[in-house]
Amino acid sequence: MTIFQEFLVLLTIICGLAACTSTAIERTSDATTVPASVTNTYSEPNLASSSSVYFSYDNYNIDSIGSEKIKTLASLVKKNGANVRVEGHCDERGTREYNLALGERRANAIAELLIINGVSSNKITTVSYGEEKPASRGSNEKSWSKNRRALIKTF
Amino acid sequence: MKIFYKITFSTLIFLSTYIYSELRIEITGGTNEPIRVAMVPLEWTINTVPSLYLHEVVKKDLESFGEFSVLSPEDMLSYPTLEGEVSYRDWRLLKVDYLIIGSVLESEVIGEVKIAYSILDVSRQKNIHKALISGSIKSLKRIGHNISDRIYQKINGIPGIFSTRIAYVDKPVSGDDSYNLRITDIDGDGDSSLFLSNQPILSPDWSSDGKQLAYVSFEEGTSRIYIQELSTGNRRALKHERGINSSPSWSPDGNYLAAVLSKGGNPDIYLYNLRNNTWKQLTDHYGIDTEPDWSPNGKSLIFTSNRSGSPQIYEINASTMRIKRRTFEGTYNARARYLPDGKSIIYVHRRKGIFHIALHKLKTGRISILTDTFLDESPSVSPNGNVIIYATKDRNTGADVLAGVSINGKTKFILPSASGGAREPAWSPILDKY
Amino acid sequence: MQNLFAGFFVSALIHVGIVLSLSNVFSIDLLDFNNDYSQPIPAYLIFEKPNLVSKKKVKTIIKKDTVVSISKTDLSEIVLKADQEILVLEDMINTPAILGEKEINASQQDRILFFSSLIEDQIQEVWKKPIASQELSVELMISLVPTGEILDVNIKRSSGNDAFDRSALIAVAKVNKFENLAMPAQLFNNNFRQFTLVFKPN
Repeated sequence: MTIFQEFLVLLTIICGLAACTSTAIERTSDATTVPASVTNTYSEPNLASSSSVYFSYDNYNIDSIGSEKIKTLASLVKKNGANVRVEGHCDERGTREYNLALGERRANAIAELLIINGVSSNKITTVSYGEEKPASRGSNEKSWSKNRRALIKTF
Repeated sequence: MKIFYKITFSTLIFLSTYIYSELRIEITGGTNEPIRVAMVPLEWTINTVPSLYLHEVVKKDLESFGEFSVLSPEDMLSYPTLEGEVSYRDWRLLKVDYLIIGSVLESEVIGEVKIAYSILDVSRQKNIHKALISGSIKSLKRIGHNISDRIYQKINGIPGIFSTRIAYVDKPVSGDDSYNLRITDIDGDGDSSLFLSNQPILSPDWSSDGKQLAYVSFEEGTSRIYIQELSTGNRRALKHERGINSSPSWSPDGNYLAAVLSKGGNPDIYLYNLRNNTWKQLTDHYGIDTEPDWSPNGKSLIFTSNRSGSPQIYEINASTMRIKRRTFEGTYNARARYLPDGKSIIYVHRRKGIFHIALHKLKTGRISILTDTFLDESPSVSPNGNVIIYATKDRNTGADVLAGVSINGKTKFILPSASGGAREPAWSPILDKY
Repeated sequence: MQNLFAGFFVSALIHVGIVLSLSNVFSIDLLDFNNDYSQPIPAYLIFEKPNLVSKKKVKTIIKKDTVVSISKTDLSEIVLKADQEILVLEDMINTPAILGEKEINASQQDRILFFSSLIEDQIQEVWKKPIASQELSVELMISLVPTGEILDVNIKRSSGNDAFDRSALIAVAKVNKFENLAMPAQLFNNNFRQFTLVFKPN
């Protein structure tokens, strides 16, 4: 080592022993964000009809009223060859992602019943919106019961 | 020689006596008084007029969670800017624990400032941190937050969170079909839009480097996962599958996203390889498996599953694939997140019909309820593990608001929301590292 | 607590040993053991009554010692012998003369506890624990002068967290001088001239 290097080392050691603080170099980033520009988002095509089937809390069983509706709808759709889109929805209680899954269970239950009633499966699409698109705002059973639904839309 | 041995013998006995009787006094507690900090208004040596006062930014930051008490300049006895000018007696009289002094200097770079500052330990009259921080003059407030972070870290030993940001979804009560992914500073400043849509947006999740956000968007008519680069606004979609594509969670190394697909007939956890755009199935059960979260060390994931009949939290080892159930109390436990030390988790826990946020120590299984608000969900923890932010409903107005609670349960706060529709908060990682 | 008592007990035994050895009781003459004991143990230095240990007992002790021939001066051997002496001394403790010492020990105990809690209180009053210090622990070596002033502080064992260590050092710096520590010189020298402070939140 050269004498200069030795001196630096010595100085560092002395500084360490004397516990003198060396200056930290810090930098603040700008952290600007740019929004995404998205032009096309889904818009619903023209509806031919929309029916609702309701469910009890945390459940995806179709009751007798629901079954009747689906039967009627199935025969209609078979005749006019319409496309069917089943949307599953939930009330706001519980976590959003879990409700997405629950909504899917409801939509699938409806789709299965439609198929049993003769609708061709390639005419049916299902989607779950979980608790994201409530029909009624309000944090009480009156609103919640209106939100626990499946929407059967035909196009 | 006789005497020599006698002396040696006695000395040894004496020494052993000495070792045996050393007193140990245990200090198990201290005072609850907040730590007292004083920041002298910085000497401003440059020509530009200050747009704000850094000592005010720091005072507001440090006092946010009730942990500090910061002296106002009116109460100071002197205004030193150099260490040599400090009369420690003045500050001891004011019962100040830590003193910050400094000056704002000209930078060689146009449009930038340099701030030299020191953090002084008043009781022991020592400089515990000396730094030179630089940044754009437009980011002066951000520089202030960085200084708050350093002060916090030197005093508490854990990182400060004053420079972190919250990403959240906003659905204004007024707008019918308007969903907005937004980002804001911790103090509510800089609240801006990242992505606007007329279809639902859910589950924002930060990458560990703080540069990207993954989220779910229904813009194509059904749930799909997208990744957005914050500095450019550029997006890319994951290869989507039939059914649900949701609940993204970044791996700590940034190479994978854990997510939920229902293409197999029911929702299961999958891993998406970001390098070759392929999906790999992680769980396979006819029940609902959802809401995965990677552990900070990348070795395991926690997720929600109703395989036992109702939603509970499970943990899967990423290499052995062994699954272990974690929650046994209550009939609804979901949306779990690891704390940064990997030793505890927080999740939504239903008790007597009310949804709360619970803190759960993995080793002991001990649970403590952190919140007493209404319909609590989507908890997110600060990167220093000290504060939880979550979504809840204002009991009076019914508005969706974001609320926070410190991990020890002592400090609570509500983030004011203009729109009344704020939900799904996601706390960023530490953004400015040194 | 138990540590204090045990330590003190052994310490007392050893002190007795020192005094006895220095006053030629065992005549620890390692180079040449002679069983020449004409004098009784002059234990008047610590006991109020004359000693009750018989000549005979002393002879027994010495006999135990003559186990090894000591041509070498092996330090470990010396210490081993010290241990043997201690075991033998335990027998002697049961004699009435030595019970006086036991009583003295008990009150010493109380006094140590009393002053320790004074110190604990004065530190607790000023210690500001940093956030997230639940599982941390730091040990400081404190040196005092009899007036209670803190002469020196050193980190004996760090917690691994600078901020936590610092909070302990600051607490000590704030106290600077412990109040109300007036106590007998021997008590101070044996326990409080230098002691360890362990900061370990519950």
